[in-house]
Amino acid sequence: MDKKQQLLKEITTYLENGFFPDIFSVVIKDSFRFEHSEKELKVILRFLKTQMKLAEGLK
Amino acid sequence: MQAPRSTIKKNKDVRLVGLEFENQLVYSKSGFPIKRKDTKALWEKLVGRKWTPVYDKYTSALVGVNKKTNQGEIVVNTDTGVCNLEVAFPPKKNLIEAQKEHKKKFSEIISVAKKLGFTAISLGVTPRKINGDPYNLKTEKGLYLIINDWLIRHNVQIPISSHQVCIDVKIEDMTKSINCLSKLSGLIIALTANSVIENEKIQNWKEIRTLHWKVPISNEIKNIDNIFGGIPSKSFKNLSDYFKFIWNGTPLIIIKNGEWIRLKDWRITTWQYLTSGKEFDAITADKKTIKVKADESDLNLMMMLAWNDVKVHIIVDSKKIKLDDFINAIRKNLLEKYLKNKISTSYLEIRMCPVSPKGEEMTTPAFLLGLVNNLKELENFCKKFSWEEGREMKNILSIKGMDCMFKNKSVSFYLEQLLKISEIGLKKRKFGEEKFLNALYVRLKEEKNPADKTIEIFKKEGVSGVLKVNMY
Repeated sequence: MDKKQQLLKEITTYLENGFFPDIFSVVIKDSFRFEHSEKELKVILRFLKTQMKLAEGLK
Repeated sequence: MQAPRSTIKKNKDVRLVGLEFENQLVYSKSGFPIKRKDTKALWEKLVGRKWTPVYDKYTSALVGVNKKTNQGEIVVNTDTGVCNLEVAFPPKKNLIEAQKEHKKKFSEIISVAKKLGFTAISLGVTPRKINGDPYNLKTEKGLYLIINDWLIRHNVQIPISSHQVCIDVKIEDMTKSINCLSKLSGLIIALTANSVIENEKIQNWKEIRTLHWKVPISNEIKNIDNIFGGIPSKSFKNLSDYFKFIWNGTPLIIIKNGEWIRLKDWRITTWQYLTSGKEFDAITADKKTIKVKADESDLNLMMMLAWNDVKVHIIVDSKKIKLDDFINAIRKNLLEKYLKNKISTSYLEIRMCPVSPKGEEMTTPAFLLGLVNNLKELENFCKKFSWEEGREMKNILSIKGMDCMFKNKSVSFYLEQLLKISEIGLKKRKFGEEKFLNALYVRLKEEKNPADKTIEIFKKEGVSGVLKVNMY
């Protein structure tokens, strides 16, 4: 599995873990119709990780 | 994108206030978001009641209605999604008049909607799940045809609404007001948060709208955080500093000869577009490539191309402005001085505001108006927090609301002081608008914002109970 596929897999796992509203999953997955660089995928993953960590940390 | 202009003849000391209220539309029986055909039916029925139809130039779709009043035009359409009703009222001298007009016109629109089987809700996010492809709910505007392939995750904003408040601010007070209100965005949200049930469950954010706005919506727009960033990464020394900051990103849209277009190359910044004197390739809504060159007529739009928590609206008289002189004034950090006697309107659109509960629609506008009208005390209050702390507060308080400590003090401790500052600001205006703060004092006393109350209802009665309480 190359780096981009790895990132896509990780993003999908975050989107499907029930933490984010469904529309995030629908819209973000749909946006992968467009070509994404590794850097762009990392931005999305970082957003998901950071926000989840922040909200979990404040519980 | 721009609140309607007022036709009120005013003296320079009257600070006008305009409301741009969004509310999600749902079916009265099921509570699910309405569909495109329903919104279209609403516009058609309103046209039958002597509202003026508005057709999109590019899609030819009926996308809204307007009504002229003796104080300006009321503009009714939908924002990103066809389920997000947006009603923009012309600015008024005070909130008593604004409330009167809101009650009358909003009630008319909703009475028509109800006959069609749907209504508006007083929540900042639609509580039931959006079924199917969100593209089916995208408003059919040429604007979106142009930017859809840039803002590829823009549809994440379909289920959210806000109550934006537009307040007159003199040019010399603009930067101070932007800095103060941006820094306090989190505290304002703590008191007013109202979007906590989405997908029929309690979310981890009391104001989940903040999270929707954080989704990276574009890969291509340069420095997108400068224009879609909530609280910008820095405070501003003056208006020149502000425009240098927001113009360091791609111009999202340009209007030439009445046509919506965008630059072909997303790497070009607004600053480069305005200052290079060169022609650039641009794309029209029907995907044709044309040549475009900046001139004075671009300035009014370029100045408002940012969707941060506090958005500047300055309308210049383009006959009195030369593009080169305007740019030079920015380069020398002298924009305020240059703009003297050249502007027709200057106001701030305050955008972090959650949707207010039914019957409390004037509370947040009053709170903000009072703060802006008591700027000296507000500036003193703001010294308690650094810029970074302001940004941190927004993240934390969008999640926790009032149930939180910050810098060893309760959030209520800060909010009580802010309410007092606002009350003094409103009393100075002598319109009796301070009465609208009463509901906010109750929230403070109970230490519960609207989202906290929604959670209580949800726990007892589920999503149906939440919808029942919040349906107009």
